[in-house]
Amino acid sequence: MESKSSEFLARSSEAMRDEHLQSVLNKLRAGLEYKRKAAILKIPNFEELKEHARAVKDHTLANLDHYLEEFESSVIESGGHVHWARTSADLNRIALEICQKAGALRVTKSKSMIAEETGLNTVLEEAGIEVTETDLGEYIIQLAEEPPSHIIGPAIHKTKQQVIDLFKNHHDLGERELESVKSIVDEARKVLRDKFCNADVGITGANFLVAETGRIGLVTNEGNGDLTATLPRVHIAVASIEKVVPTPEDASALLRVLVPSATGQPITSYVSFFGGPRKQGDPDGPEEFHVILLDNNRTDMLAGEFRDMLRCIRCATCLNHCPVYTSVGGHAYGWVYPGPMGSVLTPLMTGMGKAHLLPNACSSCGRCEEVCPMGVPLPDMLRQLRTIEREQGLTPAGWRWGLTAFMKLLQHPRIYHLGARWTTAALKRMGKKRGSIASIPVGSGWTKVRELPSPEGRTFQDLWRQKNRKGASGNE
Amino acid sequence: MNEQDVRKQDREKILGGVRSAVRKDPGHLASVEDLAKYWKSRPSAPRPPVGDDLVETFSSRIQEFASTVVRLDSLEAVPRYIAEYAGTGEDENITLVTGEDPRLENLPWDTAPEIRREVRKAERTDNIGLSQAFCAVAESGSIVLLSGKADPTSNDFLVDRHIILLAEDDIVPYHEDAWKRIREAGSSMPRAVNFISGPSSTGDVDLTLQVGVHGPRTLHVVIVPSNPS
Repeated sequence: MESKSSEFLARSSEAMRDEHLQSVLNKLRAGLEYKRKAAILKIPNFEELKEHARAVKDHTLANLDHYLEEFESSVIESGGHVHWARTSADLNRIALEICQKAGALRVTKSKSMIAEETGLNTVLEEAGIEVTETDLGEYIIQLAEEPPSHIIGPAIHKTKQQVIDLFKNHHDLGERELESVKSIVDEARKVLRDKFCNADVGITGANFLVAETGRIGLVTNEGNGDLTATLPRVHIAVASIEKVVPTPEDASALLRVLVPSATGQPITSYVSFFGGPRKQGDPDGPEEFHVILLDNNRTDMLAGEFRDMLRCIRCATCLNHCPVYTSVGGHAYGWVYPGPMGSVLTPLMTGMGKAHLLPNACSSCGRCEEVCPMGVPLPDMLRQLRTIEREQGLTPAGWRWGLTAFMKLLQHPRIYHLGARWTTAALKRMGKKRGSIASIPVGSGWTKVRELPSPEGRTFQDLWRQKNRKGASGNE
Repeated sequence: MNEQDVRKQDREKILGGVRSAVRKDPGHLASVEDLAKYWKSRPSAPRPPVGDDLVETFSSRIQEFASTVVRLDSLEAVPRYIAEYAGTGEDENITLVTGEDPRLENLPWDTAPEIRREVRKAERTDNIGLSQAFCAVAESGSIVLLSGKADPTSNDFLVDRHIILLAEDDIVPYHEDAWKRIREAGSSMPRAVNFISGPSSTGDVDLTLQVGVHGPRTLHVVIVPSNPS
């Protein structure tokens, strides 16, 4: 997908003014944070489970060459095919070739962030193939012609009314009215059943690639992935190389931390492992099974200082806990992955040039790292990316000068304290009557939407010095 | 260069990149022997507590989300029970789709003449399906189903109401135990292994949980003391 990350500032301001979006984000903040916490409180040894999951992934990454080759030979052994794609364009080309060889006119898809990353739908559609997203959230944004705004709830930015309006425009509803969530879901069920049953090729993502068995793991609540992997003649799974785990038991170990972190459930309705074409005597299942493995700069990440990011299992809990994401939503970030994990991945995958602003969309509060089930040091990596931004001279001039001036000031404590004392005194005088200040010369961005409370007394440093003097005299 | 060569080259470039990235990693095990040694000495995974009564743990956990469970005293009672559960109260026939499972075949279906059993793969218009669980996991309240003649995957996802028969002895504590049973059951993995822990549901509209999106709208587990022979 094309990146619009360079427009982060304009897009985030717009998002802050969007009342619909703000109402949904408030709901998200209150809902998912609480659900995750409640789920984790029920698991007494969650920390231990996290540590194990992390160790599994670290071992796999350190031996990724071995497990990728094992996965490949297991898939081949069970009658499937493995394809290697270095870039997004490679993946799209390979998938299109498979579809064309199968004479496919209709494709159903279950949710895949990799297909979002490569922009697969556009390529298939341009070749005249009908592509239908079957995850309800993905289906909604496909109708709206928008990218996902959250990596597990792609349409969370849509209100119920907006979904009803979309269905009215795209479905033949006749006299029927949609009102409740149930009526919307029933309508989608009816329309998508047709698609499932008439598709030639089904494309799914993969939460896990199991090296030992050559199976892909799918974690869903809807069951759309299972129908996509079972009913069409051909099943294609698209996945990035770091999704490999050695054994099915390792997939289960990751699942124990993935689902509570993602949705606050102990487990999703469906956790499924698929691989190979239908076996002799099987009444259903595809005739062909393909896996396309995507690199897209991940080998570079593996080699460098951002390897820890490859532990990420896409639970999205860092998005749900980020004060920036929950204020501006996913579209502001301008590409496929938003929030803290997206602000690390986007520059590494699309280049610093377009995406260098994203690592600045961070208040350094550290919540993302605190809740991450895989212990990914997101704040450190965001800081490192900001350092790279500065080294490459990409930091906007105003920020660079401002930060340089601030650094100089901090290196001279006497001047800093003097300045702080003067500023405090000046602000105190400015806000004397009202107790707050409506506008200040260099802080108009801040005071445009709120007032600055005026300082009440002396600076902290002054008070500290005074206290120490008193303490010292008290000891005498 | 032909297409096959290009593909081979792409594979080599990715794997080559991975190899040079991990070669010097302290956790990298270069030889097959080292890897084998690692797997031999690898400690088993920590697991959350499940309690002693597996039937109780399984039942309460799967019922936490929208599924229903009933315990019957005997296998013989199953057909009559299904007739009562699935019937509308009127004198109508009930169509029940099942796979070609010999264990289900041997139930006393003559006790429930209103049930018309159809042994086949499920189609999109089918209402009620019955499957026999391969096993179940207490830890997460999950039923394990394997693809094949006895239970085509379509039967688990296309029917509106899914009934699953589960024997008490088939409830294992952890996912690891289920994998052990699956490994022991056949020489190779079935095409599909499904852990099912609830009916099909979505939270994609208005962050509201709604049951019955693509797959079964209801999931009903019938627990019996032991397996049909």
